[in-house]
Amino acid sequence: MNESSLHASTSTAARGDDLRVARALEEYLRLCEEGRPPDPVEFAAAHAGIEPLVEEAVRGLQLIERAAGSIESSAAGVDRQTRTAISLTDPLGDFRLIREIGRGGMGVVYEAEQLSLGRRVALKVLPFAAMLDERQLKRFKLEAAAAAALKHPGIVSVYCIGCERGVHFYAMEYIEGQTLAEVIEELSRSHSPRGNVNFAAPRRELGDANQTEIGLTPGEDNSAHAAERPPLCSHAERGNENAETVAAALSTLHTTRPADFFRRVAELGIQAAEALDHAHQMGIVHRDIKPANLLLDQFGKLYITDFGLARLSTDAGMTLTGDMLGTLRYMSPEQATGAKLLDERTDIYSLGITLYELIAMHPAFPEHDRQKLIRDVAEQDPPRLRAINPHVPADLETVIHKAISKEPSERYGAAKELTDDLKRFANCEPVAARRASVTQRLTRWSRRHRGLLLAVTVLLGVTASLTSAAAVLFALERNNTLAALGDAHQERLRAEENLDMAREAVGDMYVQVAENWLANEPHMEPVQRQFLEKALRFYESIAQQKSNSPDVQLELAEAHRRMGELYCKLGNDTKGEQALREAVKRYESLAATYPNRAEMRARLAKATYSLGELLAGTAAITSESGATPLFRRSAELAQQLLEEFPETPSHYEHAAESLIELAKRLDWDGRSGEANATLTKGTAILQDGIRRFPDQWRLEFLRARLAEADSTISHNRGKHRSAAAAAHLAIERCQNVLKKNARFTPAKGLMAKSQWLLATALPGEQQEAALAEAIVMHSALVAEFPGVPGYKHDLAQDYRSKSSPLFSAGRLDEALEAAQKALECFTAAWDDKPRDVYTGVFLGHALHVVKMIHEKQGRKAEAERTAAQIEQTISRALANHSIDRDRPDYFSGRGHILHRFGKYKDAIAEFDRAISAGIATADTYRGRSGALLCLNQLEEARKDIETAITLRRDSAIDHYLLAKINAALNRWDEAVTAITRAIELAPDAAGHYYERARAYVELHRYVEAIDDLQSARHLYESPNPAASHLLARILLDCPERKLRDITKSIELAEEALAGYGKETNDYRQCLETLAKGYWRTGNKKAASEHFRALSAAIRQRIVRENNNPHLQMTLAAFLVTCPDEELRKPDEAVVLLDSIQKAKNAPGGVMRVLGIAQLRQHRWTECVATMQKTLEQPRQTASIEHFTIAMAYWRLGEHEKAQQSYSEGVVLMEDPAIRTMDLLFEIEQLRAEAEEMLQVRNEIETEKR
Amino acid sequence: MPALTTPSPNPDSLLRRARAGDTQALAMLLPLYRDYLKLLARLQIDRRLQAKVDPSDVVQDALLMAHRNFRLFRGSSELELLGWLRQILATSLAVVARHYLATKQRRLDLEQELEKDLDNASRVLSVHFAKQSTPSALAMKREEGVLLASALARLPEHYREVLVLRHLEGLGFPEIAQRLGRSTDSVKKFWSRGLIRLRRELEGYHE
Repeated sequence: MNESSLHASTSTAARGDDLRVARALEEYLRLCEEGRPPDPVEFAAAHAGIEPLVEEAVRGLQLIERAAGSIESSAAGVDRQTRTAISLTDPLGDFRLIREIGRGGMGVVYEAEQLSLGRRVALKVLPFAAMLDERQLKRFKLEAAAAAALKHPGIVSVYCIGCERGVHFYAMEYIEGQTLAEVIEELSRSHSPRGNVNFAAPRRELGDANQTEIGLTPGEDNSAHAAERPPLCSHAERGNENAETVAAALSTLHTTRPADFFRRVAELGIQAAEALDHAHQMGIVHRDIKPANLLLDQFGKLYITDFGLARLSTDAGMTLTGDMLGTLRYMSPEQATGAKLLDERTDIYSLGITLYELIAMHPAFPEHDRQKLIRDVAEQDPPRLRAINPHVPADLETVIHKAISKEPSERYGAAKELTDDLKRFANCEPVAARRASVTQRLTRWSRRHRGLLLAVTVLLGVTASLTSAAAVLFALERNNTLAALGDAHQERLRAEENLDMAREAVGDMYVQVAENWLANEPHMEPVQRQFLEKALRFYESIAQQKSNSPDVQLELAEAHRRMGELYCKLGNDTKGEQALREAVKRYESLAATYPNRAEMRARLAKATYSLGELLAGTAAITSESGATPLFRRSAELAQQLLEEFPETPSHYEHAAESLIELAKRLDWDGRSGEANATLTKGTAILQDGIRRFPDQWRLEFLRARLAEADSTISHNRGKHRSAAAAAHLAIERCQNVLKKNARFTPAKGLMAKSQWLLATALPGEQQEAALAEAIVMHSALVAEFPGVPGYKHDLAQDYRSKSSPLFSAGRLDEALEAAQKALECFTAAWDDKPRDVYTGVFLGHALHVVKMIHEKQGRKAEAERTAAQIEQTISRALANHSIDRDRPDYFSGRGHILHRFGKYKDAIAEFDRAISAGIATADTYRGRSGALLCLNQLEEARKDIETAITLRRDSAIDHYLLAKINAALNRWDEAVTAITRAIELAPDAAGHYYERARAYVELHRYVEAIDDLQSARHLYESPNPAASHLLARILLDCPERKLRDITKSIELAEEALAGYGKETNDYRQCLETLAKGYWRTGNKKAASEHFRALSAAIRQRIVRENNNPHLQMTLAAFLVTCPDEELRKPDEAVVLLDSIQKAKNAPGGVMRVLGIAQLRQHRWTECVATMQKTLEQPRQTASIEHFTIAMAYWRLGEHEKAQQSYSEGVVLMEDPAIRTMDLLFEIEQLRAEAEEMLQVRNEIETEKR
Repeated sequence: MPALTTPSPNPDSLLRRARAGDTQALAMLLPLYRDYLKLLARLQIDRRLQAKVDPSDVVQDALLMAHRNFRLFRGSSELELLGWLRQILATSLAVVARHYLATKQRRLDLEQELEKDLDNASRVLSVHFAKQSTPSALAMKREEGVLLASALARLPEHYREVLVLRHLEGLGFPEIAQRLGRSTDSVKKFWSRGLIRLRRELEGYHE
């Protein structure tokens, strides 16, 4: 909008309106100042003719005035505002202020009286709270409220947190006494020859011009000093004699009885540590333990104050403005260098450094320059206490130096441990802490640099005095490698300026930081990544300099490996693969050049393994991605190393790890025999390892992984009981690991996954409960580590597994909910790791389920939308896959993706591209064959799978597919041959035996079929309905009557029935088998019950499926052939048959059912005509027609013809060439019926004679 | 009102790209805060130094310094970026202050005070702004102080001057009139029009 448009809008008003508006505004302002701000709309309404302008102007005024009104309160204004708000005469809510007793960085403290309770309190006013935004304020209040709930004799009780007149305050227990800061100051004043060594030290002026650029965070000024002054100093100024006594008593002790002084220090430490322990157990970390926050009352009892306030200063930006130097001095290295996730060990450090100051009588880090102070905290170990004062007992020194270790893991793990050790010291028992070993001290050098690097990375300031390693890193940023290396030499800072030292420093730092992150923390911060990228560049520049040194070469290869692993963790597989391939390449050549150096081979094995892991987990939708040979290679290398060096635990780990993954891949590739052998080998190695190193929890973790692999493999083979047992074992072992190392997240992940495996191996309701548990476990992991795609994927799998049985059971709403959750999680996991094709495929499945449910529930629009989403998913999967454009299996990969999404024709086109490009593999042909099979192009499919088999002879999956195709082609003999080969390769796959049994049934080789089904049932371990039912049918209806075993058949059918979902086709067929079985045994009642159930089930289904003609056909046949005459309803059958004939895709066999129906309706002539017509088609089961005709003729009085037809039927059904089970029950029933009829006639005839 | 109605480059995505090393994004990002920094600089310079320093120069210096040292910026949000820019601006202002106060020695306290002032000034701009529940303002999700500064920058100069002097520097109308060499009445006219315009700028109001 420009000037003229504004005037256009106001042109209706006279020019003088501007002034009228201005006057109205002034009036508005005056009303506001008088404290009666009017409502803008009402106010505007009072100005006739210019209402809209006035209203708008008032709103504009509000906007700017709100901003401007408070600008006056900037700078010292906040403090001023606080003071004006608080006048000592006016009560602040329930509190009457008595006097100011302290003032410091965190606020002003008043002595006050709580009017309602008449008690004395200390009231702390929090000026920073006014600077917080609402979110921060809310968080502060929550934290303060949590802290206020702490009740412990060593913690100053907080009575309430309040806000009155815009002033935030905090009312707490009034402790008469001194802060430890005051005590220390007094002590140091009376003991130091130089008087005030600490706070009175002259402030350093920084005149260095170099600081201009980097001094973005200015140093401290007077206000920083004010902050450093202990806030409750006026306790002492008031002349509290008791308080004086505490410091004085300590001071006396210090000179007269030093041993008691140190014990007294330990007692104070114990009190503080006990209080901290209580808070930590409640989940509250103080974050600002320092002398000024520890109060001592007149009896020398210690209280910790200011719980829940630390974040206030951070949020208010105080750390940035340098106000908090007094706090920084006591911050743990991780806190000072900006770590966000702090645990209780930060408090342990701060307490340690406070005790250090109490003993040394001056701060551990006296530095006054902020940047230098941060660096000191991060990397300098303060002098040993005994170097300052030789009287300090060695054990106390050890305890305190352990508490202030730079590395949190080297400190006490819990305040309780610190308490215990201090108590041991106080009781003259040996302490648990040990002085750092030589190796520990050696590694500290590098850690100091890491601290420094993190400090400079996290914070802004880069000081002029960088150490060499850091200087190199930062100079590298300026693409000035050589100069940087030169600079580093010239820096001549400390003893370790030479390049090798710098390299080692970075290397050690890398190892310490990265190894720990990679192994123990699945998530990663961006800062960490940048840091590691820098480290890699550093290595590369070093390698250019000294390319002949094998050690540098080794380091460089190692850096590539770690980088690769890191990228994989971060979900950047492309870069990860690149780096890992580079690492493998370098190691291969190193291992070849230096065959005597075992570490080269060890690292080669590790890098090869990592690359295999990457390929197996992500890109590899085809089995020939190369993961298998990589695992095989790393397993060979590791096993060889293990033989050479059986005393190295890590060799056991690597060998087992490689074998586990190799076994999984082998199983996936269809070489399950080999997979079993591999797992056995892994088990043996781990057993040996655990025997030798019983304390190595990592070996136990590998045992858990092995059990998980075992469970997965058993699961794939349908061996549910073994799968469940192995999953149980994996869970148990994960629990063992977590007992020893509760922070080891991978064990939690594995446990959750094993829980899923366990759930899927369990039947029915047990499965539901177990899955719910897996969902809880995975949800917790996803919440804790949202950056790890694997957990989201696993959670999605849980939901997917949950939805399918619900869907089969017809619990559609629940199934939909679970499927949608799965969808959500798969989507999230895929977003994080787009190259993982499987996630996309699973997402497609989940969408498919959702679509089917929508369709079933008649939500057309939703179903269509979901269908569109499936299409999008396919496009996205293909687009993501295009990253692998340069890989030889690219087209095959596309083909497999399309195949999995049911786009068979498109899939075939992709496979064809691979074939015509000459890069086809066995996998390509198998994929093509599978797609052709789905399109029912059987001959071509057979050709392809045969090609695949000639390329790769030993994949059970190939042979299995060939068997399937042969079966579809009705080449049953060949199907048996193929499946037999598959069984040779994978002898314990239950499914193979089942498939072969089906082929044997077709070939009428019932003995073999029964054998195979028994094998399958044995291998399935738990009831498998399909196998049981097929066996039940054979035992019921086998043409070789001596093989029949009706009792067993009933038993099996009952078992199968329990395993099938009630709505399924299988269930109804099984019901029929069962009913027939009972009929055969003569248990008519049970048979009749089951027949009724069957008919009800079919009818229900017909209604559900909108008169599906196939189901109607089944019902019609049932209604005329049911052995129970009461259930026969030929009239209804005829009506049904009539409607079936009109339907599209009418099933065959209508006429023969009609014929039987006509027989039942006593329409004899029509029956004969119908049946004679159907006899024109030769059938193995034509006995049906013959017996029906026989009965019709007999009724028509044509006894001769009846006899003839009957005989034809008998001959046909007893023909040894025809031994099919098809309709055998019905045929036998009709025969019995006809026989009875003819026999009656014969008997009558005989009588007549 | 192009800046409000047509989607200006999204600062979050620019920031992300800039942090990833995209210098083009950085070149687009930093100028977004020119108005804001200029307003802060102007308030500080006028009030504290009383020197005839052009805020644009200081801001230019500050942005240049920010550009050169962007790799040192560790935050990821616009809010953090603003805090960082304010620190830099404080340093730049201190340099100017040293120059005009003819002190060779670095006045750390001055610098820190400046920074604190800037922090507070900006906080004031944003805290109070955040309470506005105007949907459009909320939808922007931008640092509100920046929005106010940009809106002010889009006003005709005489409107802007009156609003800044009146509301951000707290001068009375006669004093403003004197400074601008205009009558009190015309200053008041600019004032009322300026407020209306400001509101329309901020609300994305159209006629």
